[in-house]
Amino acid sequence: MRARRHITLSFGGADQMEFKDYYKILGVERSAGKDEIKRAYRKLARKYHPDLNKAPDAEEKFKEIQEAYEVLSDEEKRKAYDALGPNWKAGQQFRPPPDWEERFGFARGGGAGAGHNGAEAFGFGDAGGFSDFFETLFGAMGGGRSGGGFRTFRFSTGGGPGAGTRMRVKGEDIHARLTIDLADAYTGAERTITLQVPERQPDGTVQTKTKTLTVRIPKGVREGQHIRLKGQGAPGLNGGPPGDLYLEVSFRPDPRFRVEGRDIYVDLPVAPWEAALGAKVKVPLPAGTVEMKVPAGSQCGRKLRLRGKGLPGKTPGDLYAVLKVMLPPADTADAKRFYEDMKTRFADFDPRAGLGV
Amino acid sequence: MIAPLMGELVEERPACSLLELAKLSGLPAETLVEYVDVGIIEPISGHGARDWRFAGATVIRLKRAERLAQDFLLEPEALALVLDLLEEIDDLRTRIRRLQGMADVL
Repeated sequence: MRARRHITLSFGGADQMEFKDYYKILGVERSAGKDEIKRAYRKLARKYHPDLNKAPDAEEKFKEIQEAYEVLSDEEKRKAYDALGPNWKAGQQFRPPPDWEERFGFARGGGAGAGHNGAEAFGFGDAGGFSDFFETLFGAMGGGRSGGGFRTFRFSTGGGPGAGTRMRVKGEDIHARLTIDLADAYTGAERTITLQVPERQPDGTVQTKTKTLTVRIPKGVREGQHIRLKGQGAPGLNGGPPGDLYLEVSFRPDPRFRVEGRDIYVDLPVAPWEAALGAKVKVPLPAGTVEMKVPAGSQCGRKLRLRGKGLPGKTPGDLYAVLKVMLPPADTADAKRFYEDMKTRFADFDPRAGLGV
Repeated sequence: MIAPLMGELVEERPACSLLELAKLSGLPAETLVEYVDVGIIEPISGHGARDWRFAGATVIRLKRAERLAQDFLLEPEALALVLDLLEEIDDLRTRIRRLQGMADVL
């Protein structure tokens, strides 16, 4: 059976080893039965699966849930984990008991890949990526997969071989999430990413290797699109070709801009006199600024289009500046006098005329 | 300084044939025909399997389908439904984000 797991990049701090409370992660009691654990796992997996939940921390959570289930759904591993005792707290510095290996015979793993700062990609590919805590306790068993989980159904006919096959097999494709700034998509950019690539060994186990790549971000790439890097996935087995790497692009949130397709929306604060009398104002672009004319008599919420200033492409998108009229505060005697004056001068102005009140 | 890798923007790939899609996804053509029948993927043009054309993004949908099928033991029909709904949710989320911004202005 193929062990397919989602992998996540670490952002440094991989050397620390903290105790993981697998029961707490799944939200079950230490006395929970097999079915209860399975139910809890399925519920959380539906909630945090990276294909269903786009929140940035979903993937990390999902990995944790899988790791907890990997241990608690396997009788042998759960027994060993329980033997550590109930007094450990999540996050506590942890060192395995000295007699761990003799007692439970899980050989020690080679340690997870080093953490890299500045990494931007999150991967969910095949196998690997469990915590150091897991690797230390259950290292050599990490590649296997306990039965009774979700992943018994084989959708694809390509992919991983059974252990011991001598066939040339293409490496797995890897899917990772790449977060970039809107400006990177606006102008094109180069980004260096670090990701952990699972490498299947001929004996069927999986080792994770850290890989650093410099990638060209194509100008005009949109959120949700995928950059395919041929041959940068997991290496093939027995001389088979490597798989591909798919980078799913998402934009780092920028409070100034909203993007829909190729169009970009920006809220543009203006003074009442700029809206009423017209003005030339500066509008921020994802990279640079542009000057725009606010027509006289503009109201709050008016959408002004700057043709072709959206994301570049064969048909470039437009940039929409949405006017937001800002009132100067009436916090001085002079300012108050001004508003009083305005009140008398605009005696006929009824902003609620349309409400029938 | 190593030259940066020039990736290919999957969604902007020109449409491809059934055999090209099979090669790209690593799935046999017969399997892909089944997926078309159930609605997991859909050709953008062509009447028979021989002249079907698939949009570049189809391979992404296939990969998503593969992960979801494995992780949630989905039957093909249910899988097609889930994929459609997820795509609709993505669209709605984008629109909400824009409209929310507009509502804040008004």
